[in-house]
This record gives sequence, C-alpha cells and structure tokens, in this order.
Amino acid sequence: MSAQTPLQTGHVAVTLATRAPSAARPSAAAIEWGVVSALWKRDLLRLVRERSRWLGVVLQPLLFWAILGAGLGQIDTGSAAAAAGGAAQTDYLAFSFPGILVMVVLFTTIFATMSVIEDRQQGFLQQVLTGPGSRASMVFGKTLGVTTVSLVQAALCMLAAPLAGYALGSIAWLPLLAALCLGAFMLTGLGFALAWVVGSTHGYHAIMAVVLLPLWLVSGALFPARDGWLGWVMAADPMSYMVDAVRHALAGGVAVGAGSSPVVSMTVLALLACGAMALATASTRVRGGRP
Amino acid sequence: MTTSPAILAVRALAYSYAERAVLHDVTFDVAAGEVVALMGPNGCGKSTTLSILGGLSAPQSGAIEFDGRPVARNDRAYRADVGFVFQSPSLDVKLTARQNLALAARMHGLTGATASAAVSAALSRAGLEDRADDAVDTHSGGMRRRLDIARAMLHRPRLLLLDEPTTGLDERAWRRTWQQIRQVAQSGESAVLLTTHRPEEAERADRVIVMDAGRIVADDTPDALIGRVSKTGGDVVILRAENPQALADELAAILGLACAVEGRDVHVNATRGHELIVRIVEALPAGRLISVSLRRPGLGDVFLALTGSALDAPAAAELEVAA
Repeated sequence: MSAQTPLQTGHVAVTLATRAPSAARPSAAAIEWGVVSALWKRDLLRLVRERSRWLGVVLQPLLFWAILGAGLGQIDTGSAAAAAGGAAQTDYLAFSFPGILVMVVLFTTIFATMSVIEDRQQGFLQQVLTGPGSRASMVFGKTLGVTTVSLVQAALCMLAAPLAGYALGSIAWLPLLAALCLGAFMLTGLGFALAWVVGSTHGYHAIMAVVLLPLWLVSGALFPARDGWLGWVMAADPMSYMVDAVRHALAGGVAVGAGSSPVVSMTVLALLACGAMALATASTRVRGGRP
Repeated sequence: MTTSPAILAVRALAYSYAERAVLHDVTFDVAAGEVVALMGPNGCGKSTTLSILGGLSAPQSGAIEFDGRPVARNDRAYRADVGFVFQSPSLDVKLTARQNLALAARMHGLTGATASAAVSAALSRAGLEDRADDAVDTHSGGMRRRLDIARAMLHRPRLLLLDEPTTGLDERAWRRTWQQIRQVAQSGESAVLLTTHRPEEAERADRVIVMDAGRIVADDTPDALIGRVSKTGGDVVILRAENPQALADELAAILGLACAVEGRDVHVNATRGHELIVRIVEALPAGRLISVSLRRPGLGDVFLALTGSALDAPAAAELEVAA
C-alpha cells in the first residue's frame, strides 16, 4: 500500500495507484545481461533441436578435405620424388586441415548470420529491437551463441585430426580454442554486419560467393603464402590470420608454414575480432529498421 | 476527448520515407484502460506510426510523451514499459512455447522465480498450458498469435502496440485474440493501441482513429463515428448494377439521392432504408438492378463518407485501372 501514499497531483495519482511504479523494473545491467544470455541460450537450444543440420555443416568440409587430400596429394606425388608415394598425400591432408577447421567455422557463421536477415524482419529479433536491451548486447549475445555452436562443430571436426597426422596429445589446445573463438567472433561480426546492411538473403548469397568464399580460398587454407600480388592479397585477408593461428596451434604452438608467426597471427586476429564486433554494432544503428 | 489522463500523447508526428511524406501532423492520445484502433487502408501510415511508437523508426518531427514525460530517441526506460506485437509473430518457431517465453523474460531482465512465475502466467493467459512444451511450428496460427501477445505482455508493459494482430486468423481464433486484447485493457493498468484495415475489427475498440494518406481524419468512439454517417440511426441501402456510376447519376437525377459508388455497388444512406428500397425499385426500369440489400452502417461506411474512397483500397485501385 505504500506505493499509493506519495501522491501529489491528480494526474500522477491515478497512474501510481493502479500499478506498481516503474522503479520495480529490473536494472539496466540485468536487462543487458538478460539479452546477451537469452540470445546465447537460444542458439544452444536450436543446436540441440537441429542436430542433423549442424552435422551437415561439419561433414561437407570434411568431405572436401578428404577429396582434396586424395586428389591434390597425388598431383604432388607426381611432381615430387615418386618414392614419396603416400607421404605426399598425408602432407597435404595435414596442410589443408587447419583450413578445413576454419571452413567449418566460416560455414557455421554464414548460416547463422544469414538467418539474422529474416529473423529481424519477421522473426524473433523483432522483439529484441523493440525491447529495452541495447543493440550491442544483441550483437554480443548472438556472437556468443554462434561461437559456441562453431566450437561444437570444430570439436566434431577435430575427431578427424589424427587422420591428418595431428596427434591429439601434441596439439596446443588453449591457443587452438583462442584462435577458433576469436575467428568465430571476427566472422560472426563481419557476417552480422553484412546481413544487417544488405537486408536480403539473395544479396547475402551473392556476397558469400563473391567475397567470403574467395577470402577463404586465399587464406592459406589450400596453398601456402606466395610472393607477388597474391602474397599481398593473402596478407590483407583477415581469414589468413585465423588459418595461421589454427595451424600453429595444431602443430603444438610452434611457428609453421610461410604465413604470420603465432604471436602476430593471434594479435591480429584479436584486433580483427574486436573490430568486427564494433562494425556489427555500428551497422545495427545505421539501419535501425524500416517503417 | 478521454476522461482519464493520457498514458501516451502523440504530438504532430511527421515522417518521410525516400522523400515521400508518410505521416503529416499525427496527433492523438491514448488513456490507460483503453483499446484504441488506428484504422485505415494499407499504406495510410498506421504501421509507420506504430513503428515510431515502438522505437523502430525515428520521426522527422513531432513529440511523444509517455506517462507525462517526453520519450527520447532510443529511450530504454520507455521501451521497458512497452510491449510490441508484430504482424508476423516474434517467436522462434523451432523452440517450444515455454522456451520462447523464458527467453523473452530474460530479455526483460527477469530471473529466477520472477521469470518462472511470469512464464507460467503468460502460458495460462494464452491458454497454452497443455501445449507449452511443443515446438511453436506445431502450433496453429491462432495459438501462435495468442502466444505472441502473451510474450509481449510478459513484462507487464503499460502500453501494448499491436500491428494488424488478427490478420490471417479464422473466426474462432479472431474471437479468442480479441478476448486476450480486452483482458489486457480491463485491468485499467495498460493501454492497447492496434492497427487494422478491417472496419469490423475497429468496431470492437473503445476508440477509433481513422487515418488516410498519412493524416488523421477522425478520432472518436465507434458509435459516435457511425452516428456521423447515420445521424438518425439509419441504414445503408446497397444497390448492385452493371454500371454503378450510371446508376448513381440516374438516382441523383430522378430521386435527388446522394449516392456513393463503392466498387461494383452504389451506397445510399437513408433513415428508413426499407421505404427507400421500394421507391428506388419502382422508379427504375425492370432489370436495371442486379441486387438490392440493406444493412446498418459500419466503420467502412464512415471511412467512405470521410475520405470518399473505400477502405479496401487495393480493390478500388484495381477497379480504377479497369475503368
């Protein structure tokens, strides 16, 4: 009854007497955490419900890997010493495996961020946009969800690591986890921003084919860093740093390959992840919604 | 206009989209405990008004006051007090009803026992306790709509905004949805503002704001609006003919009647419709009329009288093209 006592004017009186005052609303911090955790949890719940779909996301890159390893491994065998035989194939499987892990994360983030387009125009995200939480929390919650799903997918993919010649006991797991998380943050942020600005599934498909997949192709996933113009392209490709960081971690945390060093790759990846988050948050403000 | 104080005051809103003016000088109030319908044809600006009130679009000019204080752009405190029901339900159809509500509760900062209580209460209000743990994509359209309204009411907003809430629902689902909308307002705590292009729906509201081409053309109770058309509680006589315009001209000439052509029909307002029908039928050559009917006027007639065009705008446009 105390809520009814501090009445001054007739106008306010009616309002306060009929309902608990707005002070009863949860704090801003509780709301922001609520938005982050709700969007995270939502992706986890969906992961459980759509197991077969997510399994496909893992199997497709693994299939590519097996075919590439079989095909390109034999080309190498022909050009190198004939005696190397099966060894060249194993080498290529080992070389391309980091790129395949990156591809699993890339596919997961592409699927997840593409769904943002419809989700925002006629689905679940509508209530986030009209709710009391901030856009930054929305981006962060969604990114956490996609990152967690990516990690589950990558873990499944890692079951094939021994086949690529990476003994599970000699992998630097913590740097691997960091590289996959930062990479997932970077790719989700980028995908989220694209999805928000493009606003149509067709447009997003086009960008995926023209930008995202080519970026993966020149990331060092399929062939090592080169000299000349391709080298510049590879150095400018954000995904190169993710592939390098994953490659170093799989090798036990030591520098391997012709790309960036472990410290450089991880540092650049962390910066890119932060930048992508900021980009995604900014993009949601640029186009706040259509009438 | 309303006796209780306004919970929402909208003043001189103006909005343009791609250099086309969508809203001009939109001004109205909504009081607590009231169900207000924004009625108008598609493209009249009613959804844009709602989108501005939901914080999804920013108006070029004008002001909104909520509970006596101005609403700023990106006003989180205001958004915490508003519930929004979109044309397509804001639900994750792969998840269950309970999961959807639990996520909505989280996003309003509700936790623990408070959240569980809010979710249970929402399931009960939506009448979905027995389907709570089924995925929403197994629910009917009516069930989804009830769940979405319960979702929007979960945090006990003081203003519930609904954009065409009953589109695509069958008669039974429509009635249940309206029961739910009525319940929200009945407590006297919350106000409801909804958009509709259907006159029979607007007639269920406490007050109707009629919009046309981005402007408010009338704002009154349904009875008062209908009373404007039929000042003595009269009828609408509807005549169907091969050439409605020719018929309207002919009736104006021979009987001095004020006729309105609406689609394939000619509408005539009359105090005693049954007597007018006899006069019309006797005055016209046999075979001129295809059918004659009589009904009480509704908000559709009000819209026609106010704007000179039918509420069912796309159909009218088609006829214009055909003619």
